[in-house]
Amino acid sequence: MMIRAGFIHYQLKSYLRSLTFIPPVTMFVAWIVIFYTYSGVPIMSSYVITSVSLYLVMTWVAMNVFSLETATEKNLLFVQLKSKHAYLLGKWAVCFLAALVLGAIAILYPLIFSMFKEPIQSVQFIVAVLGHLVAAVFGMLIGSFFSITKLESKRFAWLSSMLVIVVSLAKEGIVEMAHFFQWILLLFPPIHQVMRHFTDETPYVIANGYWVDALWILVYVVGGYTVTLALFKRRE
Amino acid sequence: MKVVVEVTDVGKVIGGRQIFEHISFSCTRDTILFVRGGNGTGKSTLLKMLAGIYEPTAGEVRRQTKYIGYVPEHFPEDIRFKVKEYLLLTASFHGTVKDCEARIMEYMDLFGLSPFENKPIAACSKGTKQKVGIIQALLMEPDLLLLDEPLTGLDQESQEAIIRLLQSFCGTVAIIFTAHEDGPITELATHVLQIETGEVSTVGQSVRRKRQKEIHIMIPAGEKMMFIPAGQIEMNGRTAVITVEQDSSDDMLRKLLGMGCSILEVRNK
Repeated sequence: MMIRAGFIHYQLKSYLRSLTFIPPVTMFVAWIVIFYTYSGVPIMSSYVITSVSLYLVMTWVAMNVFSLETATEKNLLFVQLKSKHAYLLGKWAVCFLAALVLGAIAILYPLIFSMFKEPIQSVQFIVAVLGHLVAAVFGMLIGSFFSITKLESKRFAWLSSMLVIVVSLAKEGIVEMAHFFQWILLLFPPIHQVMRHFTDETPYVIANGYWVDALWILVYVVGGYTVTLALFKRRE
Repeated sequence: MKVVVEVTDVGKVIGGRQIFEHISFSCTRDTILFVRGGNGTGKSTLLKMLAGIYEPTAGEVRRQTKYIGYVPEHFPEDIRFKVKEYLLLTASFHGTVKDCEARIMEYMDLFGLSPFENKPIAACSKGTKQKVGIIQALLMEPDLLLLDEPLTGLDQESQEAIIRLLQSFCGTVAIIFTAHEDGPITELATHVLQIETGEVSTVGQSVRRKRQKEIHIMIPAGEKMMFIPAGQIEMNGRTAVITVEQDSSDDMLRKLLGMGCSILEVRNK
């Protein structure tokens, strides 16, 4: 079994004690509370905002989780775990747990405090959960990818990841203005394929192209995972 | 006997610099290999390569191990755990904590760490951190134990405890350690690898130096100490340092006291 419960426990304790979780988590929770200051808001267009927020925050969280150890502690963990792959999976598992907590807050807060103008349909709920999950996974991939590459310096890693996030969010607009970018932009997380399914039609129905987008997202996540893993093994 | 690790013509380049090259050796469970070399010759890099942390630039490392225990030269400074908590957590990576707790307590007693079990590692002394590093490696129940300058920063008592412990593993665990100078631990070696040349020499049992003690004494006025061979004594005015094999140190001490010498210090060489 590559994912080791003991290592996840180790990482969670180390992450909590590092206190680096405080800025992203506080900002995210505060943002959710402020965002839902007024009740009677539309469901899906509110959820699209929180899923994009989760995308940003999970990049931040992943960068923190991947920077928890010094080189010697990391080397020790590689030997103790017997595998660099197990180390990487453990890190992702910790990020995923953080994403579950933050995603649950983003999805359940407006439901618990009845912030939406109408009752939520079960299909909307499922699309919202999946959308938040995918946005969080994209954030984890970007955060881990740039932490691993450590291009020149930590500051450069932050700048690169922010650039990727901004470009991925503005991808559709960029392609409209300059069509020749469309192939290069395939390398950026397909967050737009998530966002475009958060529509406010009533009743909500799953749009044409949902499954094609879901398939592309799946391919992207598997590809991103493979590339990040290969890069990690090469760098370490 | 089964080969635990086999290294064939390995070399390592880091940042364009050739750290070492053409290193070949193999270890069985009864091997204790001492990797000797000056500063910057790649002893630590070789150990990291054997541990699987680094990959060789050239050659091949073949391991037939279930677990490897690795003790870095400097234990990480800012680990966010308490001593016992850290050992329990790392031991839990491959098994249940219950199985390991008794062994953790046993090793902590052996190294005198019991009073520090609830002390944060970051607040511990260098020596205490080093002991934690050694215990975490032993808890892996390794087939191959890699120790990078293991006695650095340890008090005399702990050094002796480690040497006794390593001696007790002889024949069951392959041990590879580095040191930049000869000392008590290097006497355990069955083989020596000179990393600069890649030359491996076997240390025969008869050649392996017996453990020695240094006896620092104050000599009574007029005493010439003629009964001690010149090679064993170093005079410095009224004080002297006598080097004797451990087996005969008690006899020597009795003789010296009988002559009216004051014993200033006795230490392992």
